[in-house]
Amino acid sequence: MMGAKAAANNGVRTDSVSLLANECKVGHECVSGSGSIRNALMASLRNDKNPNVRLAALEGLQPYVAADERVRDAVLQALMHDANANVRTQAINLLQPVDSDSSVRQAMRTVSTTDENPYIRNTSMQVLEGASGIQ
Amino acid sequence: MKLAMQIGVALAAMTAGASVSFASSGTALGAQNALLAEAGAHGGGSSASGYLGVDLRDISQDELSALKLKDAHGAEIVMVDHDAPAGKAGLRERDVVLQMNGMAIATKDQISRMLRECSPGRIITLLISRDGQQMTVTAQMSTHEEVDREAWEHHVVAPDLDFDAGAADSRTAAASQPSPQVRGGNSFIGSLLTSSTNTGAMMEKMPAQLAGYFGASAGHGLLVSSVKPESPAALAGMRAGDVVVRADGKPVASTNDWTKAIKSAKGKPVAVVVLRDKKEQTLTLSPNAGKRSGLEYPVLQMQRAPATIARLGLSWMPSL
Repeated sequence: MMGAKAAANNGVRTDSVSLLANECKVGHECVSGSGSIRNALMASLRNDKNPNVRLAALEGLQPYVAADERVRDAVLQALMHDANANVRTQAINLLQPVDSDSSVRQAMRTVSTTDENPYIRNTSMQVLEGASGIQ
Repeated sequence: MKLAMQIGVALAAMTAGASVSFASSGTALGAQNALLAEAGAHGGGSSASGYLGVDLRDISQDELSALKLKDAHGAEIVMVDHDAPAGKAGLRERDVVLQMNGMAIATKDQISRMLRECSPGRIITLLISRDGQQMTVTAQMSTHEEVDREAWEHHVVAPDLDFDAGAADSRTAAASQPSPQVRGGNSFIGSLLTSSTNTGAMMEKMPAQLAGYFGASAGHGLLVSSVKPESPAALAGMRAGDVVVRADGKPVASTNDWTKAIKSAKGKPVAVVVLRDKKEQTLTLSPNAGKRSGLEYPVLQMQRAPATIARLGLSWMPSL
C-alpha cells in the first residue's frame, strides 16, 4: 500500500498497484475487512499521475463495479475526466455491468458527444443503444 | 425452505423511494400490501408513465431449475438501474417478479403494461423470487427525468476519498471526487468538480460548435445546465440554457474564472452577464459562500505540489 501511495518511481507505483489489484481480483481484502485496498485503488485511479498506474487500479476495481456504488462512481469519473484515452476506454469496458444505470448513461451521453477520441465516442454511443427496454 | 416475507416498511416513508423486507408467510400479498398499493395509487399526481428502472423477460422452461422456480410464470429482471427506484429497493438481476400489487404476473408483457400504467409517485409492491426464496419489495415509482437529475446530482456531490479511508457501505456511499487527471487542454481545468461556492448552478465549458449555437464566441462562456430551485442562482434569475460570459466585470471562460469571481465577492452581490437567446442580460447574484454546493461545476487547478505530496508521487492538488 505504501508503494502504491508514496513511491516516487512510476514503475514501483505501477507494480504496487498491480499487486493490490491482484488482491482485489482474487477477492481477499477487497471483500472483507476494512476494504482499504479498494480505497487505495480508487485513490490511485483518481490521483496518480501515471496512466499505467491508473489502468492497473481500474483492473483491480473491475469485480466491484456492480456491487459497490463508490467504485462505479470512481470509474465514471475516470471516464469523464481522465486525460488518458486508454483509461477512459477501459472505464467504458468496466462499466458494462452497470450500463443501465442512469448515472452511467448520462456519462455515456456526455462522452459520446464531447470526447475528443472518436473510438470512445463511438463505443459510448453503442452502449447507449442497449437497454432500451428498461422501464 | 421457502422464506416468505412481509413488508415491514412504514407507509410514511414514501419519500424514501423504496424498501425491502422479509416476512413470515409465504402466501400471497396480504392486506397490508394491498393497502400500500392503494395508498401508492394516490401518491402520484402525474399522468406520465412512472419509471421503476428494470428490464424484464419471460421465463423459459430451460431456466426453471436455474431460477429455482416451479413453473414458468412471472417475469425475470434482466437489467436494473441502480439509480432508480428498482435499484434503491434492492431489486437485482435474475430476480423473478411473481406478483405486482397482489396480481399474479404471467408474462413480461403483462408487468410491462402494468408498469406503464403506474404514475410517478405511486408505490408498488412486488412479490419476487430470488434463488427460490420469496420476498416482498416496495418501490415508489419515479420518472426518468427525476432519476436522471438525482443521479447527476449524486454523481457531482463527492466526498473526499483517501488511502486511509475506511470502507463505506456499498451502494450507500456518495461518489468519490473526480480525478485530478482531468482533461481540459493545456489549462488542466476540470469541468465537473465540486466547488466551495454555493450558487446552485451547474455549469460546463462548451465545445466550439455549441458555443456558436448559443451565440458565444469560441472558448468563452459557461453553459448553465441546471439551476437548483431557491438557490442564489435561481433567485438571481439564472436559467438552464443561459451562458455566463462575465462575472463581476471579468470574462468567464472557465470554471476557474467563475469560481474566482464568486469567491472574490465574499458573499456580496455579483453582476453576472449571461447570454439568453443570444442577447446579453445582467443578473445580480448573491452567492452564499458559506456552504458547499453539490450542484455547481467548480474548478480543479494545477498548483505546484507541496513537498509532502510530491514525495507521495501525487503531483496534483485541487484548488478550490
